[in-house]
Amino acid sequence: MNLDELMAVWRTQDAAPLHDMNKTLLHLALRQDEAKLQKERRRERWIVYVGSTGVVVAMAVLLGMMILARERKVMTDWDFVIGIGGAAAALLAGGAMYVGHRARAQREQRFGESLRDQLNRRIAQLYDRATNTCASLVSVLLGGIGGTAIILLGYRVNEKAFSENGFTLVSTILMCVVLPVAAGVWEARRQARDVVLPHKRRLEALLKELDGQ
Amino acid sequence: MHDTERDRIFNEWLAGHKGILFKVVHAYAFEHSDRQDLFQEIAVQVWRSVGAFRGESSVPTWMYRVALNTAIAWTRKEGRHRRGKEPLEAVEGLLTAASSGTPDPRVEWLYHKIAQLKDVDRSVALLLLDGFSYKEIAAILGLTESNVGVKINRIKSALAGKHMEEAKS
Repeated sequence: MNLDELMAVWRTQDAAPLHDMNKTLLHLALRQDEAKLQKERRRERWIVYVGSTGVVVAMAVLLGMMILARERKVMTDWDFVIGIGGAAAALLAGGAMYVGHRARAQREQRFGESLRDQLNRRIAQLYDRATNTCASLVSVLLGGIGGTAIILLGYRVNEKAFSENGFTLVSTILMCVVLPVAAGVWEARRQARDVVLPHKRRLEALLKELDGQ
Repeated sequence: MHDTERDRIFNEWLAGHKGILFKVVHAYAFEHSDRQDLFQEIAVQVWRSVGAFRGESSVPTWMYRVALNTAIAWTRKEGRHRRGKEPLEAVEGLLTAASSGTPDPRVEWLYHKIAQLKDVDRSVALLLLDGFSYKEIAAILGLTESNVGVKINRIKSALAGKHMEEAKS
């Protein structure tokens, strides 16, 4: 059969298709997909809103209590430095996450809609995931610093020493900063090794296939 | 874009060109459950793409582009499960057997031959058989026209070669 004959055979499907579809179920599936997508986006937004608001409110409350306590000559300037530094770190962590997300979305928009563009976009996303471990860790670190500042100020406002209840400054920093960062490093490396890089290699192989190599 | 407007456009596209989705599903998925899954995935992607359609290409070209990209990603295990998303609730019965007429057995033979091609060559074969020009195929897949020409020659000789081998035996 030559190409014209193959095309004629192919076109017989237009009159007698191999499949049909249930339109009601299809619309149900679309609604379901849309609902899941909206739910995911809503959850992400709420995590950012609640997290940022929580840190800001906690810092404001603690700083307010410190100002009141200062009248009793209890607080030192270092307590203010810790409070403001912690709030700044927490806000920077949220800001860094937002800026990173926007930059990634803009980078992805530069690609077109062809299959090649789609593959390149996906490879760029995976490259980001494999290499942006550092940015994620900075966010975790800044969040940890914010958390540590809240705990520190909580103790100071209550005029308690860290040695009470078995907590020391070192153990607090260890819990809030070192352990999350270490866990983050371990998880990011595991993801890159087991998931991201093999996936990226598969897509690169497909791109080569597209080039006829 | 408002949801009702999107639904209206999507329904128009489906009414006119649902055959494109069936063809892509049949060429890239071979089990009944896989075909259901891929059809659902492609339909969702086409529905989502309605807002991004700027009319710079024809609707069939756009639908082929979305469907082929989705199908190739799907065959590469790039589905929801691998992206860490929860799968949609299975919609069994979404894709059904044809209700009108008996399909030509030569069409199944052709699909069988297409299934033996590589992923990208399969896309080129579908577009070629549906009458797309080299230029359109190149734009949909992001290839140069000369590369498309090379692939088409290879596909033609593969299909003709297979046909001749079967005719001899």
